Amino acid sequence: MAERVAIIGLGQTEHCYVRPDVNHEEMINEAVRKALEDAELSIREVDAVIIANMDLFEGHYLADGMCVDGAGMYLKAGFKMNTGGTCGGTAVATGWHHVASGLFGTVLVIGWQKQDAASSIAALLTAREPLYDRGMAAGAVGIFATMGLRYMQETGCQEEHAALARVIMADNARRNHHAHLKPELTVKQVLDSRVLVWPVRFLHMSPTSCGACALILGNERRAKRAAKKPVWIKDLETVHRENAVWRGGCVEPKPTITAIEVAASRLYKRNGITKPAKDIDVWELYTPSSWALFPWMELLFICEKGEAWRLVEKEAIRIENEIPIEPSGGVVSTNPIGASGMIRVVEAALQLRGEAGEHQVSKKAETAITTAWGSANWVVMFYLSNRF
Amino acid sequence: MYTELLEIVIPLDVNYKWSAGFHLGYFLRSLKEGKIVANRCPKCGRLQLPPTPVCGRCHVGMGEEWIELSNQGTVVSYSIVVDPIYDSGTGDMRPVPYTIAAIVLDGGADVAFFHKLEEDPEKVRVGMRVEAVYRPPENREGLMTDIVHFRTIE
Amino acid sequence: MRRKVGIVGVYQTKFERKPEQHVQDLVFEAVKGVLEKTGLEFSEDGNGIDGTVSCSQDHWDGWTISSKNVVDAAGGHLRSEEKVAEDGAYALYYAVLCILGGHYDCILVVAHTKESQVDGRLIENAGLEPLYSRMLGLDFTSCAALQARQYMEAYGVTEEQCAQVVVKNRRNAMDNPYAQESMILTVEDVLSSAVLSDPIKILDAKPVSDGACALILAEEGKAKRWTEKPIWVEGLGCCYDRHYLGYRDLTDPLSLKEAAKKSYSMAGITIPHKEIDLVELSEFYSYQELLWSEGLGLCDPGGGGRLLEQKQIPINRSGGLLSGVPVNVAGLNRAVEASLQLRGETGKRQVEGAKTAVIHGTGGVCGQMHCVITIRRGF
Repeated sequence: MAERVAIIGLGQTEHCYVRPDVNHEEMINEAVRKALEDAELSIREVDAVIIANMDLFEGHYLADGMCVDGAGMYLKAGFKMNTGGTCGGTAVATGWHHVASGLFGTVLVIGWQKQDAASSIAALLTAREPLYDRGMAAGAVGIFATMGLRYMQETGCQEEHAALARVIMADNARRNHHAHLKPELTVKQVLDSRVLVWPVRFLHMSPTSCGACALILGNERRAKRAAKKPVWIKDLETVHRENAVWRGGCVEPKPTITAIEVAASRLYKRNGITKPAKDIDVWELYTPSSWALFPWMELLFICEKGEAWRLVEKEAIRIENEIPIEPSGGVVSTNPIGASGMIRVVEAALQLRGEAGEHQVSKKAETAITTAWGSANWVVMFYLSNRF
Repeated sequence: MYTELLEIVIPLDVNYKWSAGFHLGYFLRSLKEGKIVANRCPKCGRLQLPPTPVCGRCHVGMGEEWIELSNQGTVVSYSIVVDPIYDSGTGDMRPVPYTIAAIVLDGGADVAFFHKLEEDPEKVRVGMRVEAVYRPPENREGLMTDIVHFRTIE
Repeated sequence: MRRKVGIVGVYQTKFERKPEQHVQDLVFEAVKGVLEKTGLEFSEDGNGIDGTVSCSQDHWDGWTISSKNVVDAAGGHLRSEEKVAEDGAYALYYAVLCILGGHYDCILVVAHTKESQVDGRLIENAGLEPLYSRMLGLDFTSCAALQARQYMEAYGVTEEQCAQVVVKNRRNAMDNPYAQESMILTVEDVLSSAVLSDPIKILDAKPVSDGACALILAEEGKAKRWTEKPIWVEGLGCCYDRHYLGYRDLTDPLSLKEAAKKSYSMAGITIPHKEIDLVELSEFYSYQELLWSEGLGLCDPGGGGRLLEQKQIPINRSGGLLSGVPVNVAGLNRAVEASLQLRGETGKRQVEGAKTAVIHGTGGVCGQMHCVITIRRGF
């Protein structure tokens, strides 16, 4: 019988553009220490450590080997996962399977990225087939530009709505001391910001951040003894899609099924979620650009097709309102890529513990859905609950 | 007591010699001859562009049914790149602005082909008809750059 | 009561330089191969493969998110396909955990690398901490040479004994149709080959190779339905040592001993050299076969050379990595070879009556991390 899995500790660094004061091992260690403190555990009580990041970004091969000491991996079981932008989420999934297997009672998972080490854009360029489309690649921005263009063409959504979504994220981020970008933004400022690839403007895109994040997962027995209220990861679903970004649902002449709706359908069905907007209290989604929010809200069945922009217009997604989305400020405020997928889980857990402080959602928060996004629109989705 | 922060730059310069393989190799060789080819999945009939060995959805080998697509097509999406980015071939920044487009080529492709547009960015619109402009045959190398860009046809 | 997990089928490509193959071709060959062998398909309804665990490295592929290049061929469309960025044995290890946890019943594992497309030494150099070690131009070979020298000095292991490993493995490879470099060598041939980094010579080191391996795992009920020859995975262990060479006693493979201990304990093995019928381990350099044998508890510290001479336990009957298996694929290839042995399907290289086998994979500089998996015949 599979073991249940709970989050019994969490920690993250305060994310920012550059961290010249630490090397990657030290940065990871900050997050690990915070998670251990939060769980009131020592590293000796951890049975395995899973670490994830996009390794080509810092130019370190086998970076897990390099930061063994700081990550607490010495003489422990564990290994490294790398699935692209989803890897923070994948690391949590890997840790989840470790605990569920019954072989490990306490598992530490770490996600990190030190993007001041090298050019992320240059590294991201290598995500395309070298002989076919690496020459055309314009980074991740192009994906969201085509998403935004299509969404505006098919609905009444205007640029103002994406700008408003961005402003809401900035408002949320200012209430989250771990967030990276915390600007005071207005819709006009967003609309005036420089165009990168229309309709995506500079302020619509996530920053490159330096940061690390750690979670401690425990089985039922450990959760019962946990220092803080355990948050259960009840279920998870990883869905990838065939290669080629253009088949991932962005510029396909006829849209085809997306990974996110497949993952959501499977997860909801297994867990009896029939009215997501009501059944789920908090959404920590991985949206690297404000433009992605609209189609993904619909593909998560939060609302009908073509309606997401209206929900944003009504500001229903704010911390105080009925469908709080990314109360942390989201990826558009903070994006250390290897950690981002995991930060969603950490933030959702804080909400379900009632510990999110100034960015705690107003409604009673007992369930959450988090997503991690990456590559050709892959997704790793988690369903969290503070009820056993 | 040292108070200054140390940051050290070490270039990582690694050359890769990628194999095109049979399917992508066929595509690149066809490009050298002024032709854009796709291959067809024997199970679902989808055209794959670029040609690959496997149909991701059916998980079957793609075999050798080649379909020559037209060099003409319709723009279904475009983006005017304003923020400069590295040219992975030279390591320098690309001059901006330039327009990249997703073009559905005539001949049955259900997937877009990506390339640059020659057209003045002000005049680009979804739905416009375009045609591939190739380098002179003696300058072609069997690379994507054998097509210089797509020009507008009306 | 823990679930049982079995290997249902395996496949490996021939190992050799493959300039005509795109990475997708390589992965597809391995995946298609194992699907054909087992008659299984990917499925949504529990009657086939539920998901994939892939294994490769971005640095070796020259491709950020290298699994993106693999997902089509590995059946990752609308399915889980998680990439382990570690040696292939870890991919097997993780896939077993996924099934033990009940979320999946059946998983495909596939590992690939095309070493010939890049200068691996530059990548290995990037595997060393940048500001303390990397600028010295160290790579895994020069570090391994340091370990080899220390090991030999500590225990009186000789270069001749290391050369004997090469002779044995290249000779074994002649019985293995998948092996890259099989030949009759003498100790003299090895000792007189060009020096890479003293005392490691070119014939002491694993050759450059391209290839892929795949295998399918399933929970007990399905494994028994889908194959007449299930191989149960009964022991799992993996462990990290520290990174900086100066922190470690390079003659003491600490993390390997820990990994082996966990694997044997889970599998109920108390006297390894008596209870194990064959070992397929990952020797990137000849001295490592001796040192890892000690770490695996097959003999006392320093006894690696004598173990080799006594030929007590068949080690690397396949020819090992020294006959040409790419990095990352290595540990999974060991699993494929060991499974084929227990299934009785290794022809001329068969170890008769083998029931219990140990699979070993390693990664990092001087074997910083190790993974040990114990398998048993289930029929």
